[in-house]
Amino acid sequence: MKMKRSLLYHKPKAKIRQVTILLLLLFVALLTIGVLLGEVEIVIQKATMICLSCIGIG
Amino acid sequence: MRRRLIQIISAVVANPYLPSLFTKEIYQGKLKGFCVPVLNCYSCPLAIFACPIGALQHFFASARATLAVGSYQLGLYVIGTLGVVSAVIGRMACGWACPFGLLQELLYKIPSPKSEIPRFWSHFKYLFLAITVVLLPILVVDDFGYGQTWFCKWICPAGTLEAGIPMVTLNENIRGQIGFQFGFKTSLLVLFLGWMVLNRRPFCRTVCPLGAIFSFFNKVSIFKLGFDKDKCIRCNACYRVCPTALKVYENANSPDCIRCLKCINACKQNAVDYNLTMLN
Repeated sequence: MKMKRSLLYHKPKAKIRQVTILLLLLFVALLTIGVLLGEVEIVIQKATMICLSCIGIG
Repeated sequence: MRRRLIQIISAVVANPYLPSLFTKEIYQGKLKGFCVPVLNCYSCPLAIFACPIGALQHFFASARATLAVGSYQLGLYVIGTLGVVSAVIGRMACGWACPFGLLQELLYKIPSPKSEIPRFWSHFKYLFLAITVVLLPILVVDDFGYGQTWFCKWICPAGTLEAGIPMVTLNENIRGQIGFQFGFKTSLLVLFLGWMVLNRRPFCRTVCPLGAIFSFFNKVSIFKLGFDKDKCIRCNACYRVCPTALKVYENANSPDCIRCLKCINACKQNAVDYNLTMLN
């Protein structure tokens, strides 16, 4: 699908662009902190056990 | 057609673990540490990735106990992952990658009388997110400070369909433990499946907490829809093809838009297109 530049009626304002960049940086930071805190291992630990709640018996 | 193919490929990529059908055990590898931005239960025998909503609830449910011992593992990894995806593509993963979204679209193809969901019902998903994913797991705790995963436990029809029914079928030990909760969740699943035949993506629009999280970012994400109001003749071609029953001329980047892009092809006036915030 080719992007048609002429159709970009609502050009995002600079403010929205800044918000997007700030959010992106914030979430990358959160993700990084989470990884450094060892949260990936916790997710692995939880996700490799059968979740009885998900199944509906616990 | 291209989107349908991508939806099917995504469903297969997230659920390729066939050995579980013989071992009756779920996948135990390191890939389970990666949260995919779709509702795909990690207790599904075929799943190889983690469900972000399940993972998030586990972090929230153990938050008070974790803080009590001076640890700060509060789910920042999951929040960050979902945030990065949201900031880049908004709800696009719902429209292109979610297996449960694919199921809803397929069921809606079954010939039947169709109806529309009252628009204000789309706010309910924020209640499900706030109450069952965040508040109850944090606030209702046992003597040791641990809460429960309320959304998974009492609502999630994806979990019942992808994990509950297969695991009960495959595993005799689990089969012996089913009771009221399993019956309740299975009944809820049946209701949802019936609803999916009658309405367009009812679960995504009214219940899904993951869609609710993504929807906050539709207006500020890098990938967005562009709309030319001078070209639009309000013929409702976009509304007729939209999986979430939206009219692009009312709000091109509605929180309910799953960025399937069907409206771009449907619009004969070329009034709809996509754009990238960073490039403008």
